[in-house]
Amino acid sequence: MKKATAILAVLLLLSATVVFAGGQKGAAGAPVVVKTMAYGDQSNPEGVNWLRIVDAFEKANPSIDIDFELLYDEAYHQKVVARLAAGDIPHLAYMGADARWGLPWQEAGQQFDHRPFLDSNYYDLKLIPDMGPNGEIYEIPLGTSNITTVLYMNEKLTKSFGFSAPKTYQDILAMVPKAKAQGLDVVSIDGADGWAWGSCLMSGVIARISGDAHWVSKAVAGQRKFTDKEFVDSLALLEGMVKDGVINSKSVLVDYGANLSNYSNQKALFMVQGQWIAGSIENPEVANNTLMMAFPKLPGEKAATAGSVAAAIQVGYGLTKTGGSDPAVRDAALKYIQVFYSHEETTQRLRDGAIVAPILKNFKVPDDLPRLVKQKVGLAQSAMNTDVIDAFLSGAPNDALNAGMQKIVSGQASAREIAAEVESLLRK
Amino acid sequence: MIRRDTKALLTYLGFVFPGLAVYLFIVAYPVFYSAWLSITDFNPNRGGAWNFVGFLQYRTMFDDPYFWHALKNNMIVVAVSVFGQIPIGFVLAYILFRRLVRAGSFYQAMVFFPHFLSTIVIGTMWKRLFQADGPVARLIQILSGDPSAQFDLMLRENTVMYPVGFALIWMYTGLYMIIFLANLQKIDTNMIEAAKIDGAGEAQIFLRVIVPLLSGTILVSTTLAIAGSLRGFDLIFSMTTQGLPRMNAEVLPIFMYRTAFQDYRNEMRFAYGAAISNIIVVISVTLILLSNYIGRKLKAGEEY
Amino acid sequence: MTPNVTRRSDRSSKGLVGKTISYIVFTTWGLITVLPLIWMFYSSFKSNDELIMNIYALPHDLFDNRDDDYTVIPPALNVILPYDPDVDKRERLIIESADISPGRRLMLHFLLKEELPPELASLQPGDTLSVSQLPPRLRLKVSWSTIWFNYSSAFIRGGLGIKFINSVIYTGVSTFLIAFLSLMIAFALSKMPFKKLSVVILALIGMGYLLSIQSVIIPLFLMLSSVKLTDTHFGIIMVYTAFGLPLAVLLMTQFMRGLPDSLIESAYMDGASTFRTFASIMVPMSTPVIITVSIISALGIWNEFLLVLVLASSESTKSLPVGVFSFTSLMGTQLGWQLAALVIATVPAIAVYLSFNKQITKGVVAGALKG
Repeated sequence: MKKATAILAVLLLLSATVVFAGGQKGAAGAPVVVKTMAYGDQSNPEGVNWLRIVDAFEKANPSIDIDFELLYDEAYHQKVVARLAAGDIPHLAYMGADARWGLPWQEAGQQFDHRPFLDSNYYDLKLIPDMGPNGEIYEIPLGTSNITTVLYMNEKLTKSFGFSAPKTYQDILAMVPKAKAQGLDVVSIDGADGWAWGSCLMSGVIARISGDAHWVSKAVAGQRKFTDKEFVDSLALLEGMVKDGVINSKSVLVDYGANLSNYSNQKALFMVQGQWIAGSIENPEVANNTLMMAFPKLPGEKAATAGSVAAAIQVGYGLTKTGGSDPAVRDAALKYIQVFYSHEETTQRLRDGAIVAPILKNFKVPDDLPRLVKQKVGLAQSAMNTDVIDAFLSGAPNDALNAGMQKIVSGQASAREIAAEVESLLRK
Repeated sequence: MIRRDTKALLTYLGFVFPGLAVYLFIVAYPVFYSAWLSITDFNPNRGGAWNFVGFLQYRTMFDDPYFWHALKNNMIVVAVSVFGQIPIGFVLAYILFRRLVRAGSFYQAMVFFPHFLSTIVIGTMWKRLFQADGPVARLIQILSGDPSAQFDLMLRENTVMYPVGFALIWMYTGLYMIIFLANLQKIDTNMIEAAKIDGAGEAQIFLRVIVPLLSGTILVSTTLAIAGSLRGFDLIFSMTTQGLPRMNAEVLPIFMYRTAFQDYRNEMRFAYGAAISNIIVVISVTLILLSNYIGRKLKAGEEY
Repeated sequence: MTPNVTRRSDRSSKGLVGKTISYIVFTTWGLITVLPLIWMFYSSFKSNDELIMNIYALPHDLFDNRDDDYTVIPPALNVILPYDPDVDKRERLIIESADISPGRRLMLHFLLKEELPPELASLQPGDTLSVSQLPPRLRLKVSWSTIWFNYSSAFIRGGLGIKFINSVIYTGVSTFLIAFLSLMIAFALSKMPFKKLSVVILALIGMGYLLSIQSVIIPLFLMLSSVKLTDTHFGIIMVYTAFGLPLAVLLMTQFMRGLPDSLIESAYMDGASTFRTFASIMVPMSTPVIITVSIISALGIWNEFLLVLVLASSESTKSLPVGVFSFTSLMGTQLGWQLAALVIATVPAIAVYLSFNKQITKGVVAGALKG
C-alpha cells in the first residue's frame, strides 16, 4: 500500500511537471517575432525597465512580438555562447564591441552593420564610435563611451585640509602628510580586484605617459611592445604612488564594496573607479560634495593626451546577422530600439547612472539632474577618450598584468619584470 | 544466491535499468562530446569546418606553466581533503556516536552546517573576513600588537593555500562526518561493550575496533574526497578576489574556466578547455585507483 | 581476567583530555559557523546605506522609523506601481522615504487618498510629511513595512515566490528520484550475482561524480535544446537526478555491502520474491544512508546555482539561488535585499535538516539481529 501511494505520488509530480513544461513557451505568434536576448534581471533597474518597455511597446504595436529571455551577468554570457553553439541565434541582443561583449558574436559571424539603417535624425552619429575596420556600427550603444578612469574627490573634506582640486600629481603628493596624520587614505582603490588596476588606473596612465590615445590597441596589434619604455614607466609610476603614500599598500586587500565604503565614510580624500560607481555613493553629504575629474597631470605625461580619460565603447542592443537579414524583423527591431532609447528613457538612465551621456540628437539635458550626473556629461563631452586595456588585451597576458600590478603594489615584483611577463605571454 | 539464470538477470536489470537510463541519457553525450572536442580545433561558436588535431591541445596544456601550478594546488587540496577532512570527520563522528560530549545533536548540526549555504555564499563570507582591516586582520593586529598588520596570506603564492585549506576543512568535514555517522550505525554495539570490558580506552576502541570495521567507508570517502577536490570550483573561486589571490590559489577547474571561457584570444579555447576537463578526469581516476589499490593492500573492506 | 587493567585514574585523565579537546573543537567550530549566520540574519534588517556605513553594526534605521520623513513624488518612469492603474483607478499619494535610500525610488508607499485626512491628501509633489503625521492605521502599516523592507523587496522584486516553489519542486522530486533509483541500483550491485557487471556499472556511474559543471554545460545545453528540454521543469529535474546519482549510488552500495547477507538468505528461504526482500528488509535497514543521501542531495540541489542559471531562462523555471544572486546591477548591489533573500533561502534548509537529523543516528542493525 505504501509502495503504491509512493509510486502514485511520483507519477503525479512528474505529470505536473510535464504539464508545466508544456505551458512554457511564449505568447502566441504575432506576425513579426523578434527573438531577443535581454540583459537585466527582474530585481534590478535594467530588468524592470526592460519588462515595462516591452510591455508598453507590444501594447502599442500589436503586430510585433518581442520574444525575449532576460538574463544577467554570468548567466547571460554563458547563454550567449550556448545559444550560438546550438544554432539558436537571436535576432536582437545586448552586445558590445570589445573582447568580452563582442567577440562571441564576431566569432559566430553574427555582427551586423547598422550604419546604413540608423536614423541620423534620431541618433547623433558623431557620438557613436567606429566598431569595425571600415567604420561599421555593430550595436547601438546605450550612451557615449563608458569612462573607466575617474578620480573622485571629496571636495568638502579636501577643502577642510586647506587644499583645492589637484591639477598635478604633486598637488596630491602635498596632501599626503596631513591625510596620514588624520589616519585617512589619500587615494582609495579596490586593489583586491585585479581588473580595477587595469581598467581604472593603468588604462589612463599609459595613455598619458605615452601621449598616444590608442597605445594599447597598437601594442596588442604588434606595433608597440609592453616592454617599451612608456609602459614600464607607467608601471613604475604605480610603485612610486605606493612609495609616496598616495596609494596605500594595503589597498590590495580592499575590494569593490570596501572601496566604496571607505570613500562614502570619508576615510579617503579620493577614490579611483569607473563612472558607474557614482550612483552608488549613498551618503548624500559625500555625493553632493564629490568632484569627478580626469587624472591630474602625471609626472612624465605628454601634452597630446593631457586631461584624457580611458573609455570603452558602451554596450547596447544590436541586431545579429540573422536578424538583420530579414527586413521585416530588422525594421521591427529598429523600431523597438528607438522606443527603448527614447528621450524619456534615456533621461531616466542618465539619472540612474546607467549611462554617461546620451547619443541622441537634440538631447535636452534637464536642469534638475544631480550634480554627479551633470559632471559625468561634462566629462564625456570634454575629455579625450583613450583605449581601455581589457577591451583589447584578454586571456593570460591580461590576467598576468592585473595580478602583476597587485604584485607590484605588495612589493613582490618590479615593473620591468611584469612588463616582460605580459609581453612574452602576448607574443606566444 | 547462486542462481545465474535469465530470471535473475532480468531482475538485476530491472533494478538497475531505470537509474542507469536517466544517468546515461544526460551524461553520455556531454562526455563523448568533450572527448571528441579535445582532439579537434572546433569552435562551437564559429561553427564551420574542423580538423582532428591529435593531441595538440594536450601538448599545449602540458607546456603551460599555469597548468602545473594549478595541478600543484589541486594536489594540496586533495591532501587536505584526504588527510584532513576525512580523519577529522571520522573522529568527530565517533565522538558523537559514542556520546562523549553533551548536546551532540547541536554540535553535529554545527559541523555539518556549512552545507546549508551555497558554496558561493560561504566563499563570499570568507572573502569578507579576510579583507583589509576586516575581522581576521583585526584579530592579527590584537594578537601581534602590530596595528598595521594585515592578513595578506592570500597575496603570496606560498601561503595562499593555508586559508584556503582552512576554509575547505571547515566546509566539507561535516559531509564525511555524517557519512561516517551513518555507517557507524551498522556496528553491533556488543563488540564495543566487549572491548570496554577488556579494559580498552576510547582511543583504543576507535583505532583497533572501529577503524578496521569501517575501512570500506574510509575507502569510499577517500574516493569521494579525491573526486570532489578535483572538481570543486565554487568555494575557491568565490573566496578569492580576481587577480593575484585567485591566480595564486588557482586549481584545475578554475584554470579550465579561465582558459576556456575567458581567453578570447584563443580560437581553440573550447577544445582546450575540453582537454583540460578530460585530464582532470584522468587524474581523478588514477588517484582513485591508486587509493583503492593501497586500500586493498591494507586489507580494507567490510567484514561481517 | 585481563592482566593489564589500566588504573581508573589513568583512564579518566586520558578521557578528560580527550573530552576537553573535543569540546574545544566543537565549540570553536560552532562559533565560526554561528557568528557569520548571526551576522547574516541581523544584517538582513539593515538598509543598504547602513551596510555601506558599517557592515558589522547592529540594525537601527529600519527600526527607528517613527519620525521618518517622506517626500511626495509624482508618478514617473522609475516608479513601479504595485497595482495595475488600468484596473484600480483609486487615487494615490506616492511618498518616498527621505531617510532610507532617498531618491532611488525604492522605499515607496502608495497611500490611498481616500484614507488620508484632507490636509495630507492634498499635498503636492515636493512637499514633505512625517510618519507620525499619518493616521494610526496607516502609521502602523508604514512602520511595519519599513522594518520588513528588505524582505518584501527581495520577495516582490526578486520574484522569490515562484522561485521558492520551483526550488521545492526541483529539490523534492529530484531527491526522491535519486534516493529511489539509487536504492534499487545499490541493492542490485551489492546483493545480487553478476559481480563483474556490477563493477562495470558502479565504475560507470561513479565516473559521473568526476564531471565538473563547466565542462558539461555547453554540450548539455546543445543536447537538451535538440530534444526541447531546456527551460522545462522536467529537463532540469532529469539533469539534477542524473548528476545526483553517482554520489548516492556510491554511498548506498557501500552501505548495503556492510549489511549482513544472512537476512536476505533467510528471506529467500522463506520464499520471498526479490522485490519483496528489497522493500521489506533492505529499505528499512538502509534508513540511515537513505536519510544521509537525501539530505546531501537535497541540500546540493537546493543551493545549486550554475546549472539552473543556464538551463532556466524564463521566470517560471528559475529557482531560489538564481534569485538570491540577482540583486546586483550596474547601479550597485542591493546588499540588504540579497541578505534577506539569503535568509529566505537558508531557513527552510535548516528546518528540514533539524527535523531529519535524529534519523541519521538511529541504530538499525542491533534490532534486526536480535529479532
